[in-house]
Amino acid sequence: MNVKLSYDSTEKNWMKNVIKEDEITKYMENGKDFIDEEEIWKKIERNKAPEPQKVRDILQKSLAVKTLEPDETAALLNVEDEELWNEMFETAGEIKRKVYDNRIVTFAPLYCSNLCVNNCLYCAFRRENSVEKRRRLTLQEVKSEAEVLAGKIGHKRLIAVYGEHPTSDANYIADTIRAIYDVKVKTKKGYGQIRRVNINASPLSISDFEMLREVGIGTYQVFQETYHHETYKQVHPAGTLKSNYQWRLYALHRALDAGIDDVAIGVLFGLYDWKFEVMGLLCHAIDLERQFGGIGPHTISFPRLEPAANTPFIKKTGHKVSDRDFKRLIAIIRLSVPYTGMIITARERADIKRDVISVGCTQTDASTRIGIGAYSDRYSEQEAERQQFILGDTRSLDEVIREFAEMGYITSFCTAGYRCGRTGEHIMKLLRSGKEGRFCKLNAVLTFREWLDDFASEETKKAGEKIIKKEMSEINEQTPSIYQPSIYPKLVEYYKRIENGERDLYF
Amino acid sequence: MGKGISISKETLTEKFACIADLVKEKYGVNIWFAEILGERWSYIAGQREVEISLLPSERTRLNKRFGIVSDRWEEIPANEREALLSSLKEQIKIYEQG
Repeated sequence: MNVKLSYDSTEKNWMKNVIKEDEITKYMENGKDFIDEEEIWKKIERNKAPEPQKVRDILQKSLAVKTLEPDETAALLNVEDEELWNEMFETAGEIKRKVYDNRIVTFAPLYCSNLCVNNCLYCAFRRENSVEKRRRLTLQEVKSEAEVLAGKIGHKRLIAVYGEHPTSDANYIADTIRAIYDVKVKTKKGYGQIRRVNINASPLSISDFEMLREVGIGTYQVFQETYHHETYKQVHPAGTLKSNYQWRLYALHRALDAGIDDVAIGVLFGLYDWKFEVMGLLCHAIDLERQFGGIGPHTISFPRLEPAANTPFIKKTGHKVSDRDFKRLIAIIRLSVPYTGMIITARERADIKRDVISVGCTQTDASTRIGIGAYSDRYSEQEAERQQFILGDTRSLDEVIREFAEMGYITSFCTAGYRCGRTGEHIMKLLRSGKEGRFCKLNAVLTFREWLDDFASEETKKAGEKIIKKEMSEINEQTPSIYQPSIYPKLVEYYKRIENGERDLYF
Repeated sequence: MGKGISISKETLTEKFACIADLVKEKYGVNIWFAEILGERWSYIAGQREVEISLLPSERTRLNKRFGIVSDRWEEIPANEREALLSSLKEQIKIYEQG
C-alpha cells in the first residue's frame, strides 16, 4: 500500500529536524513504551464473564472518581448482560453529573491549514490525495474566521486544527493563536471574543511546545489514532513523520514537560479492535498520571472513521464500530477515567449524539465547518474536497442548544478555569473531588445568559430561559448544603450585570 | 537583598507554596499562584485542595509574568495584603534577575 512520496527540498530539510529521539526515549522504561499488547489482550481474556458483583464494585470505584486499573476496565469490556449494561450507562451518566454537573460545553473547530507531509490512508488531507484543494489561511483569514465564530455564531472556545507541514509549524501555530485571541466583535448586547484557543496539531518538540505555552494555548490535543503498533504501521506509511509511533505516543508527555498542563488524547475508532483501543486510552491516561504527578488527560475524544473524499481505505476497514458498541465504549471511557472531559463531535449524526450524550459526554461542537476558510466563505453545503472527512451533524449551534435545553441540559460557554489558575494538578484535584462541577453550574448559567442575549433565536431563548430558571433554583435549593450563603446573591448580581450588557463575569 | 543572590524556579515555586500555606493558616484564606501566559493563568503552587470556596476567583497581577488568585482576598487586612504583595514582588524580581 506504500507509495513513493516526493518532497521538495524545504520539506525534506524541515522533516529531518522534527523528530528528536532523546525526547522519546526519556519517557520509556527499559526501552519499551507503555502499550504492552500481549498484556492488554491477556487482561481482556482473563476478565471474561465477570461476576455482576465484581462489576458493581468497579462501578462504585468509578463513582468515587478513581481511575480504574486495566483489569477492571477489561472486566467492564466483557460484560454481556443487558441489565448490567443499563446499570453501567446509568452510572456513567451519574459520574458525569457529579464531576461536571448538568452542563454541556460547546466549541467549534477552526481548520487553519490542510497541507500535510503525511499520507495516512484514512485521511483526505493525505499527501497523495490529488483531489484535495490545499490551502493555508493567512493570519487575516484566521481572524476573519474567528470573527464569524465569535461575532455571528457566538462561540467562545475553539480548537484550531493544522496539517503537519513546514508552512504550519509551531511559529505559524503560535501566530494563529495570537490572531484569534486578538479578535473582539460587537454583538447585540455586548461583545464576542474567543476566550480559549485549544489546538489539534502534530507532535512537537519540547521547545516548540514551550513557544505555544507562551502564547496562552488552552489544551493541546493529539490523537494516537490507533494504539495497536502493527495497525499504526500499516495506516501510516513508512517514510512519513507520522509513521513514528512513539514520537506521537509521547507528544503529550513533552507538552506537559514544556508546561502545557492541559492535554487531550483520543483514538480514531475503526482502525483496530475497539476494546483494545479503549485499553490503550486507559494505559495512556495512567502513564500520564504516573509521570506527571496525577495529571491525566483533560479530555478524551472518540471519533469514528467517516467517509472522506477519494479515500477508499475507509470502506475496506474490518473494524468499524457499530452504534451499539459506540455507546458502550463511551460509557466505559467515562467509567475508566471518571475525571476526564469527553468530546462527541459533529462527525456523528444528530440521533447518535442524542443517544450517547447521556452516558458521559461533556463537550460537543455545533455550527461546524471543517473546510479551510469555510466559516467566512459561508458556504452551506459540505465540500468533500476541502474537508478532512464528511460531517454527520451540520445543525446550527442555535438548533443544538435548543435541543439540549429540551433534553434538560444547559449549554455552557465557560472558559473560567484556565484563566484563574485552575489548570494541571489544581483542576485535576477539583475534578476528582467533584468541586469543579459546582463552578461549572454557576458559570454555565452566566455564560448561557450571555449567549441567549447575543445570539439566540426567540424559540431557543424561550427554551434556554426555562433551563436557566431550573438551574438557578437548584443552586438556591442547594444553599447552604453545597453553596455558601454568599454565592447565590453573587450569582444573581452577576446575572443582572450580564443582562445589562456586561460580559465575561465568572466564578 | 544583596547582589549575587538568585533563586531557581523550583525554589520560587516552593516559596509560593509555603506562603500559601501560611496565609491559609493565619487568615483562613485560599491563595494560589499562576504564571500568566496570554489568556492563560497556569497553576504553579498554592491552595489546591477541596477546601477551595466557590466565591469568584479574584486575580491580582504581581508583574507581567506572575499572578496571585484568591477566593477571599479581601479578608486579609489591607496593610498586611500590601506587605504580602510587596514581599512577593521582591521575590519575583530576584528570580527574574536570576
